Amino acid sequence: MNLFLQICIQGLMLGSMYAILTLGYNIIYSTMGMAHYAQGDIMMVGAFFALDFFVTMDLPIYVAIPLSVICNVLVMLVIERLAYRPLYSRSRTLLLLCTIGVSTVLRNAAQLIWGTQSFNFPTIFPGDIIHIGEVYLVPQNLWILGVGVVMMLLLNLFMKKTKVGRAMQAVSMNRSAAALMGVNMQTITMITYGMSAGMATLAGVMLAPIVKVYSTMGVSIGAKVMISAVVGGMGSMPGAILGGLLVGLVEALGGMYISTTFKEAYPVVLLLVVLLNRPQGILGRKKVVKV
Amino acid sequence: MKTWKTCLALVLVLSLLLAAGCTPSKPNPTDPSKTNSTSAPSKNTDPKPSDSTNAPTGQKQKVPIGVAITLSGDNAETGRNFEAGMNIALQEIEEQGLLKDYELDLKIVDDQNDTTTSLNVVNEMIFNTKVKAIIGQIYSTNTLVTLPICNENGIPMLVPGLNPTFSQNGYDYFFRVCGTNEGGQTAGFEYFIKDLGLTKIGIISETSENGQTSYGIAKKIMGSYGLEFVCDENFTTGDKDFSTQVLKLKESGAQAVYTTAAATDAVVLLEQIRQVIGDDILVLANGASESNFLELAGPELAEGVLYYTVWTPALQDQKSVDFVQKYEAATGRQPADVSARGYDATWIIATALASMDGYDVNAADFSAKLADAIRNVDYTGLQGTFHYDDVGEAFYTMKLITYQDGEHVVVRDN
Amino acid sequence: MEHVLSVEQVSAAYGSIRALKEVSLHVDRGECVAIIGANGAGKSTLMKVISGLLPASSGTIRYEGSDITKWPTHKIVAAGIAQVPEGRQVFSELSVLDNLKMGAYQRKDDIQPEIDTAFQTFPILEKRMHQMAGSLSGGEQQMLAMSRALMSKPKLLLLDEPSMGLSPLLVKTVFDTVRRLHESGLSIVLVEQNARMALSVADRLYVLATGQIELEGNAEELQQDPRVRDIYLGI
Repeated sequence: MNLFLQICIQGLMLGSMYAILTLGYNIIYSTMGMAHYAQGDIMMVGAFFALDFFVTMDLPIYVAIPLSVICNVLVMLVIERLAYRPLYSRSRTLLLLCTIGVSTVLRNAAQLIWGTQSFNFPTIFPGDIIHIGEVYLVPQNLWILGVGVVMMLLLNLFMKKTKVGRAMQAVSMNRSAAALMGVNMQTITMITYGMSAGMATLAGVMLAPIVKVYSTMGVSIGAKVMISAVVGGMGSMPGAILGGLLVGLVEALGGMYISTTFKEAYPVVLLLVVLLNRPQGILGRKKVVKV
Repeated sequence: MKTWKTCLALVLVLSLLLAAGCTPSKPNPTDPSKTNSTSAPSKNTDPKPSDSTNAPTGQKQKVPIGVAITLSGDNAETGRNFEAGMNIALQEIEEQGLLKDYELDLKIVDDQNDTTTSLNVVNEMIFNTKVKAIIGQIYSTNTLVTLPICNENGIPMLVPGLNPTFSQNGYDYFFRVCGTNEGGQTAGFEYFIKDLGLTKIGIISETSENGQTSYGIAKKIMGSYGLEFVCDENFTTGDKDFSTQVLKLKESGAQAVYTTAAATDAVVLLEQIRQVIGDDILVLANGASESNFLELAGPELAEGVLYYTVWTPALQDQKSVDFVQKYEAATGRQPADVSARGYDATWIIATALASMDGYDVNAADFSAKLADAIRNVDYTGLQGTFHYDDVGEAFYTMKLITYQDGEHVVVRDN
Repeated sequence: MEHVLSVEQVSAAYGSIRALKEVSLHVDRGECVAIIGANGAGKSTLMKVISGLLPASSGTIRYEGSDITKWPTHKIVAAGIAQVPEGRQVFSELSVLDNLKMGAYQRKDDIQPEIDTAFQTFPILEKRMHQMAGSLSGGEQQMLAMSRALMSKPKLLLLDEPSMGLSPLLVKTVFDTVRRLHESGLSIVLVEQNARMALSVADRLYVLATGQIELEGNAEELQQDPRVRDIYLGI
């Protein structure tokens, strides 16, 4: 029983990392209606910025993280302005292809600028393993879970209580009607992408000590993020959390009880199951289009 | 407004291209004409007594030799260390005036540690550049596809890789310039089972071709002791989450574990093992032999980690000590075991060429003659004495090394 | 005296489909102008272009003297033009009250008076104040959409097919409201398929067909025009 509990905990820890990134992904999907394929790579860029500020320049962590967030948000806004904005009036497929292109550009730019090898990133939350009975918890992972929960709560507050947050919700429900209410679409777009990039940076900083910082670190996690988003419900914030956690659980449980050889395949199986039974995702909205 | 946007976009693209162009040029793997050419400076041009098999008198014949190693990506360090070892050898060969009739024309190309790129690189070398021999490749997954091509076309391939299956195909043009995984794993498992008396051993292998070959060998060796792995897990290339594998390892009560993981993955796995299981479990890792392992892991994490190799900077014989000195003077860092492979490979080619009496490079059977010369070579290098057998192997045993206080220490010397 | 709204030779297209061809019309202060025409005539397109939801490919739109042709929608709303879009378009997952609040998005002053007015005009909205807008009936949604548009205290109100899909009784309620708004001095542009109702409230009328203005004139006169009677009134 303890083994089962342990592996569930591990799965949830893994899943909370996916969840944080998926939140950022879903914000973009809900407000802009586009699938941001490059979300994982934006995380990677954020991690590299943190590497520069925290490790290379040896700035204290509470300076390095905000600086990294600012830099990464700037990068994201520039990309939005140059690559995405010209395509909003065109087909969604074109926009998706564009995000795939941005993903490749970001990876190769990172390789050019920082190099192709892996870099060490010190853990911000040192500490020995915590043992509770026969179950153990790694402090870094606990922090990831904590940050994820806090992020979700803050996001929830933001969306429900602030004017801008409610405007974003309105935009996600009906874009043209929101425009008619006087919502400034450009501002909303910038805020959406900015928030998404900021969250991705935080996710990168959390992940870096565990997997090291390298140019392709966004690739495999980017795929899991997209799976989490679809499974949980595209555009749904609680869906992002649910989807991320589920994917993490499935990966860990499958690896433990079936085989570690196919560990990367179990989330895909989950995706298939969800798509066949509830294509809008577990917490997704069914799109009703009036003809 | 539109033209302004277009201009900005153009400027950005151009600046990206410029940045790409300004980085230290790495050889373009698909275009050997842009490769880094290193050649031993030609010596005296005094006319020699004419000999019917000689090329036009006085001139040293240029022998194009392809070198396919990993110079970019996560494992770029390995290729660079290999190249640095080659350079020491080239210098010594030049100083000793070993090559009277030939000039080594090395064409060093980056294989990017990718099988498709490797195929292209080797094809270019054989058919366009028309090399007479190839030194390469370091990562066995790539060699598995390129070795057959070299053999088919009669180009001797000096392989600094560890996959034992290379010599099991009856290839006449295969020569290994180091030991095999089989030899290494034998040393490792002998240490665990015979020396330490351990019975519970685990294995965590990568699902790649190379990883699975190593897995097969390990299983065979365990079987020869009548043992089975208490924990038998895999991981997919690129997956950095080892929590499940480590948990299973812990549950199995393994006293030691062997992993095929390369340096970066090995460090991540090691961290998780130490976190969850502790310091008692012994770890034997392929990746611990790579030069960036120590830097990435740090001396504390690397402490006690085992790896197998034919050569290590810890060796105290004169040749090794001299090599380490020269290497450090030239590069400012310690040589890795691949540096010794580069050194020995270059010396082997040069020694073989020196025995060919100035045979015409342009003769149709030059490569075949070169292969014969290599097979008959008698060369004592850093890694030991090279006498090739029929299948192209020189060594069947390896040493077992561990890290102590950030230094390489020999644990077991076969 | 300049017009409140002046549309001058405006053309618009969806890709290669030309939906509006050099359309010109104007609205004076306090006027209620109706635009009638069959389905696909371009009426809603015109509304979208005025509000900045669709770009005009040529021509000029002037509002109180300023050229608003290239203005973004939020700027047009800030200037005082509000639209009740075709098909209601309420925010279905927000409550009735939140929908009204969204209508006042740009306002920084106290919005309670306008909310009170909305509830007075349509008591059913007060009853359903905290219900999700998506659960309201068609007629209730129309009342909500209109109230929402009025929350911004607009100077020009654009109404796009307010009677569509409503029962005759509800249609009467809606048009009673439009009449009251007209009497209060609000400038209104009303787009309608229901020509009879449109003529009952409008001062002037434009007839739009395949993207072009076919007829224009005084509502009383056009009511007697045989072309109008024949095609649009079915008399």
